[in-house]
Amino acid sequence: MTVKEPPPKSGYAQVRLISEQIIECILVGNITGKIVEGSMLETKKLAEQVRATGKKPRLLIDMHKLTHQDSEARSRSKAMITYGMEKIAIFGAGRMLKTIGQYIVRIAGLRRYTRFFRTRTGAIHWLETEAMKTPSQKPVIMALCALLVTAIAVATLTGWARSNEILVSIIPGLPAMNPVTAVCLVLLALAILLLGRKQTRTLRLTIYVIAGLTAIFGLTIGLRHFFGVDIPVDRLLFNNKLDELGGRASSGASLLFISTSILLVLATVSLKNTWKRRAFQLTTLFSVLVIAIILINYIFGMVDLYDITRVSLPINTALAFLIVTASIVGATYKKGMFPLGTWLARNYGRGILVAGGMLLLTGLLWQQANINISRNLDSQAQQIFDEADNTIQTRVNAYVDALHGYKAFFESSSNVDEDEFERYFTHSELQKHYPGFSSISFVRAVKSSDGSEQYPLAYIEPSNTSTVTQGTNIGLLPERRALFEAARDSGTPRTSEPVSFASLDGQGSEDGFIISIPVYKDGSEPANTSERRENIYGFVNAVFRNKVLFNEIFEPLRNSEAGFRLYDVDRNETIMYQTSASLDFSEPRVTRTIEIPGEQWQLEMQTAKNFGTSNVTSSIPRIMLSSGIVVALLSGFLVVSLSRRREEALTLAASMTEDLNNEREQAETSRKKDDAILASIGDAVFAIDKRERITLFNPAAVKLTGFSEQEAIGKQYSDILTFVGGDNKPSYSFIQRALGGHITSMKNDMRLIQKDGSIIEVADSAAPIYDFGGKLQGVIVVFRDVTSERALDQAKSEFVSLASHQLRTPLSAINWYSEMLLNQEAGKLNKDQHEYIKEIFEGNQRMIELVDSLLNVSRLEVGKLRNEPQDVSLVELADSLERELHTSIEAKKITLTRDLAPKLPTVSADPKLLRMVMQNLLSNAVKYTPNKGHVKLDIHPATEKELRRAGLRSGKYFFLSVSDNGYGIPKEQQGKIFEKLFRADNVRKMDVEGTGLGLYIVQEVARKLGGAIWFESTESVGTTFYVVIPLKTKPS
Amino acid sequence: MSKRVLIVEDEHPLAHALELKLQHEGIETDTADNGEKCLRKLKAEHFDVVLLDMMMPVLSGFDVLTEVAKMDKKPTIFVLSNLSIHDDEAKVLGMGAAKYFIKSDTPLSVIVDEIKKV
Repeated sequence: MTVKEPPPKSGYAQVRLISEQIIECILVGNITGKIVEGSMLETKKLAEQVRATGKKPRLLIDMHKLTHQDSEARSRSKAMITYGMEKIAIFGAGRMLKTIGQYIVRIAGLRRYTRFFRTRTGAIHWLETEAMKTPSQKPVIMALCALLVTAIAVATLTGWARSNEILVSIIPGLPAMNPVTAVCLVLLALAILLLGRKQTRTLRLTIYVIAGLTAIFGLTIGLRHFFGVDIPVDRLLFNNKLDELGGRASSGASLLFISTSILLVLATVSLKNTWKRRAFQLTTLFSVLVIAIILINYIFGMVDLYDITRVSLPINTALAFLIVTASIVGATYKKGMFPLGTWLARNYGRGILVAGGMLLLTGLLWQQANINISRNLDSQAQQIFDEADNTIQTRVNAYVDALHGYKAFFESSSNVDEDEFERYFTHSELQKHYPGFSSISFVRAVKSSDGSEQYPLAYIEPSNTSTVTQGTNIGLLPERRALFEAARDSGTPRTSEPVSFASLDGQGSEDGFIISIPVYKDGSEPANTSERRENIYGFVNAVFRNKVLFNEIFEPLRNSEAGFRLYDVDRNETIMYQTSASLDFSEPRVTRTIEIPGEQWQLEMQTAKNFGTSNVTSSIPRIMLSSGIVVALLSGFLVVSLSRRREEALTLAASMTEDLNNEREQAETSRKKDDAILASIGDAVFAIDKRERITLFNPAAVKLTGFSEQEAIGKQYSDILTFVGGDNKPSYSFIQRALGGHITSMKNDMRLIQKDGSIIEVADSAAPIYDFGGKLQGVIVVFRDVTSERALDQAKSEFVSLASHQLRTPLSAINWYSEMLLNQEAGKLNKDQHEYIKEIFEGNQRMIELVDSLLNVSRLEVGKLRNEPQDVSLVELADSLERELHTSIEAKKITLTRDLAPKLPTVSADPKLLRMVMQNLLSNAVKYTPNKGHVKLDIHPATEKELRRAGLRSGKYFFLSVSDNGYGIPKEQQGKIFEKLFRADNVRKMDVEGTGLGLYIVQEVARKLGGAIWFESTESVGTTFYVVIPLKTKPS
Repeated sequence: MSKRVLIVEDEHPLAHALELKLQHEGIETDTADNGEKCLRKLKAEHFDVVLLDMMMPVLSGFDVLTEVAKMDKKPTIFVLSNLSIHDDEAKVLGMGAAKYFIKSDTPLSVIVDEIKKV
C-alpha cells in the first residue's frame, strides 16, 4: 500500500501488513514530517485492523534506505512508534539515526518494547517469535519466600531440639517460637509454594487443608489467650522444654494463623467479587497491623502497647508471618487492589518511607540509649552499694581489731582493776577512732560452785551507757550466754544475734548487736575446745546500737531513690536494719554477703522507680525519642513536599519544553515557508554576511551560476561569482554599495560569468539586510538572466532606427517639395494654394518632430542615448535655441526674457542632451503660453537651497528655470506630467499640438546627466520648470 | 563660377528634389543612386560637393567615405542621412565628411546655403 508515490529526489514511506500482526513501515530517501504524518495514518489504520483480530500490532521500521530525516519527521515518528504497538523493531538505522531513535525510544518510555536490528530477518524473527509479556518473576520470588519461612521454622525446631535459646527466640530472654507454630509455618510455606504454581484442583485442595489446619491451631491458641480455655495443642512438641524457654504459642500467632488462613483461601479464588476483595483487603490490613504492633513493640519496647493490645509474638514468628503475608498478597496482587495503599505510596510513598525509616532508627537508638542509661544507673547503684558494703566491712574489721587490743590488754596483766580499764579506754580513744559503737565491756567467766559458768559484768565504759550494774550475771540472758559460749569454744570473735537494749533515755528499747572476743587465762591460746573451756578468763564485748551505727554508715548514702536492707543470713534472715520501709525488697537490685565475726550478713539495695531521674542523662532517651519522632515526621513531610515540588517543577518543565517545541516547530515551519518561497522564486537570490560570505543560495541562483548550493555557501561571493561590466572587468560596486547600506541596481550592461565560463547578461539589485536592532547583517542580491531581454532591446532599437529611416524618407520628400513650392520655385502660387501647401508643410514638420521624439524616447529606453560630455557654453546654447525658436516667438508675439548669471561657467555635458532639455522646456513654454505672453529663461549656479529642493547633496550644479504665464497644469494632473504620452486636459482641449513625450524626455535626460527637475504651476497663471544639472556630468 | 554637386541618393524623389532645388539655385548637379556609381563618377569627373546618403544599395555611404578618404582630390562631402543613430554624426565626421544633416530635419535652403559657402 503505497502512501505516497515516490516523487523525484524526495523520500517516501511505504506501510503494509507483512503478517497477521506485523506492520512494516519502509522509509526511503529524504523523509519529511509530512511523509511521516501520512505513514502514521496508514500505520494507525493497519494497527486498528490488527487489533480487530484480537492481536496486538507489532511494528517493523525499515530505515536502511532512509537518507535524511528532518526534525519534524523525527518528532512525528515518536508519535508513530508510540501508537499502541506491542513491540517495535527498527532495522537499518545508521549510527546517527540509531542514537536519535534510542533517544526517542527512551523519552517515550519504550525501551523495553523497542529494539534495533542490523538485519531485517533478525527484526522479523524477534517480532514473530518472542511474546512481549515478560515472564512473571512471581513464582520464583514466592519460592524464595517459602524457603525463607521454612528456614526460620526449621531453625526454630533445631533450636528446640538442641535447647538453643538463640535459635528459638533470636534474642535470649525474649519469648521463643512455639515448635508447633514452627511446623504450621512450614505448612504455610508449602501453601505459598503452591500458590505460585498453576492452580489445579489438587493444589487448591491442599491449600485449603493447610489453611484449615493452621486456622484450627490459631483458634485453639486463641481460646487460651483470650478466653482462658487451655487446650494444650502447642505442647505437642518439646513439651518438657517449653516452660523453661517461654515457648508456648503466643496470642499474636493465634491471630495471625487465623488471618493468614483466610488470606490463603481468598488467594485461591477470583477477587473480582467486591466483598471477597474487601475481605482480602481487610484481612491483609489486619495481619499487617498485628505484625506492625509486634514490631513496634520490639523496636520501642512499648510494654504499654502490650498492655492495651494483649498481643505478643516472638520476633522470629513475627518475621515469618511478615514474609508469609507479603507473599500471599504478592501472589494475588493486581493493579488497584489496594487503592488507599497505592494512593499513599504514590503521594506520600517517599515521605512514609523516610519517616518510617527514621522512626525505626529512632526506636533502635532509643532502646540503645535506655540500655546505656540503665547500665549507667546499675553502675551508679553498684557504686552506692559498694560504698555501703565497704564501710560496714571496714567498720566491723576495725571494731574487731580494737577488741583484740583490749584482749591483749587483759592478757598482759592478770589483775586489771576498774581504774586501769577506764584509763585504757580513755587512752584508746575508741569512740573517736571507731565511731558507731555504744560501749565496751569486760565480762568475767566464773565457774560457780554447781559447775555452771557465770558471766558477771566486770567493767563497762563509758559507764553511763549501761543500765546493767557491775557484777550482774549477764549469762542469765540466753542470747548473751550463747554468744559467750560460742566465742569461748571457737577462740575467735563472735557476733551476737540482734539484741534488744534498753533505750539510753530509759524509754523502751532499741536494737543492736554485740561482738565478743574471748580472753584466756595467762594469755594462753588453747588449741581445743576443752582446754578453751578450762582456761577461759573472760570476754571483751563491744556493743553496737543499730540506730547509731547504721545511721552513721548509711546516712551519707541515703537518698530518696535507694534503700538498704541488712539481715542476718544464718539466723532466720532476721532483718537487722532497713533504711526505707516503703521499698519492696522482694527483688533487690544488688545483694552481697558481708562477713562479720562468726556470722554472715546479707546487704541488699533496692532502688525506687525514680532512681536516677534527677540525673540529666536519664532524660536523654526521652528527648531522643521525642525529637527523633518529630524529626522523622518533619523529614517525611519535607520529602513529600519536596517531591511534590519536584513533580510540579517537572510538570512545569515538561509544559515549558512542549511550548518550546511548539515554538521551535512554528519557527521551523515559518523558516521552511521562507525557504520554500526563496526556492520557488524564479530570480536568483543569494545573501552574504558582513564578511561577504555567501549564506543563502537559492535554486535559481544555482541554475544561473552553475554552482551548487554546497559550493556556494560559506564562500566569499567574489570567489565564485564574477559579475563583469561593459568593459569586461569584474564589477561588484553594486554589492559594495549595498554593504554600505544602499539599495542599488546593477548597471544595464552587467554580465555574469558562469561556472563553465559562459557569459549571461544579468540585471537586478542588491539590498542591505538589517537585523531587528537595525544593525547591518549583510546583503541580499537578486538577479536574473536578461540575455533575451537585452536581445529584444537590441532588436527593438534596430527596428526603431530602421523605422525612423523609413519614416523620415517620405517626410523629407514632403518637406523639401513643399518647401520649394512655398518658395514659389515651381511657379507662383495663389493665396489658397500657398495656404494649403503651408498646412502640408507644417503638418509634416509636426510629424518630423514626433518621429524625432519617438526616436529619442526609444534611444533613452534602450540606453542608446549616451552622455558624452564636452565643454558647453550655456550662453551659446541659449543663443542658439533663441534663434531656433525665433519664428514661433515672433508669431505669437511672446516676450522672452533671459536672466543669465554673469560669468556662467562652462558645463561638461553632452551638448545634444543639454540642448534636448533646454529646447523642450523653452518650446513648451512658448507653445503653452497664449499670444503676447511672457517666457523667462533663468540660468545661474545652483544655490544650496535649490539643491535641497532638488533633493541633492551639495555639489557644483547649475540651475535653470523656464517660466511662463501660460495655461498652467491642472493641479490634479500635476503628478502625471512627466509620464510618457501624457498631455494635460486643458491644452488638449485647446488643440495645442504636442506629443506628450517632451517632458518625459527632459526628465529622463536630466536624470541621465545626474540632475533633477521639478516644477510649480497654477492653471491659467503659469508654469515654472526648474532644473539642476551638475557642472561636470559623468559620461555614460 | 558655378559649383558642381554630385547627389548620391537611392531615393529618387529626394534626389530629384535636391536636383531641382540646386539647379534652381544655379548649381550644376549630377546624380548617382548607389555608392559604386558615386565612386565611378568621382573618379571620372570633378565635383565640388558630394551630398551623400548613407543607406544605399551596392555600396553604402560609409564605404564611399572610406574610398574617398583614399583619393587624392577629395570633394567636400555633406552627409544627408535619415538614420537615427546618434553616434553616426561623430562617426561620419570622423571619416572625412564636412557636414551631417538629417534629411527630414533640414530645409533645402540650409543645404543650399552650406553648398554656397564651400
